[in-house]
Amino acid sequence: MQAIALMDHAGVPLPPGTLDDFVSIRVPAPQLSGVDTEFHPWNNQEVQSVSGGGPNANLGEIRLGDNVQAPRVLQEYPALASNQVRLLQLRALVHEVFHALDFGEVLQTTHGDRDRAIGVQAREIAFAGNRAGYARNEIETDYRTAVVLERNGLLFAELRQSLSDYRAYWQGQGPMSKQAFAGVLVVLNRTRYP
Amino acid sequence: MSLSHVDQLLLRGLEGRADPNSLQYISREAAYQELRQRTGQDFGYDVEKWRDYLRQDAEGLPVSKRPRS
Repeated sequence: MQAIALMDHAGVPLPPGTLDDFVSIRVPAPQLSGVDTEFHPWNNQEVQSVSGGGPNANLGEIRLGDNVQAPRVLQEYPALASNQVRLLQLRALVHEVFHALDFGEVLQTTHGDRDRAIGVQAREIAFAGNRAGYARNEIETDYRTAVVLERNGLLFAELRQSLSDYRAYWQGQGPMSKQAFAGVLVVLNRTRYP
Repeated sequence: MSLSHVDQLLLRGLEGRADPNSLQYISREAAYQELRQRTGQDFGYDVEKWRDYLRQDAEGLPVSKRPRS
């Protein structure tokens, strides 16, 4: 809920209703090989089981993995106060909420066909399907996350560093140019910018 | 030393843990091929061997001290 409030305050256009109306959030059971943080959009088959196929099924599920657990955050930044740990966790959550909202806009272009929407994303901005698009999308998504945090006055040195490191990493991975990505954003029907 | 984002995603794909719906998905075969291509090594589908190698690589060990396939 806090992530949504921050995004709203920062001027991100949000769909009406509550958080649960557009995305579920779950902390998966621990696994030996680790759990990753990611947004999992429901495909056409899954949406039948989560909503009985009704029109009000949400977009998918944000899975909170090891990297947002407090011990992991403190491993990377040992000097953080507890409220700062929570802000780093919120950063990850806001980032994933953007991925969820973005999927919702692709879904509009496919008239609710989730499999096709997943396919569009796979072609344009997925790690395996289009690495340059994936890299640019990660940069853009984290930039929007940074804007949300900045507009709420929540940035501090370690959080700025984390955002900067993430951007620099993906900048080093051959991201699609901003100009080319503008065309991708049209295909993705993306409007959720603060 | 933690692994890079790309290395983490490739290992996850190699393990068959990648979520096919997510933006981060990569198949086991594609992950294996990319790991081979990126490193010049071949540990097959042995995730732990790849993880060990990539960790040592991230720590900057000289090539002569890296494990060989």
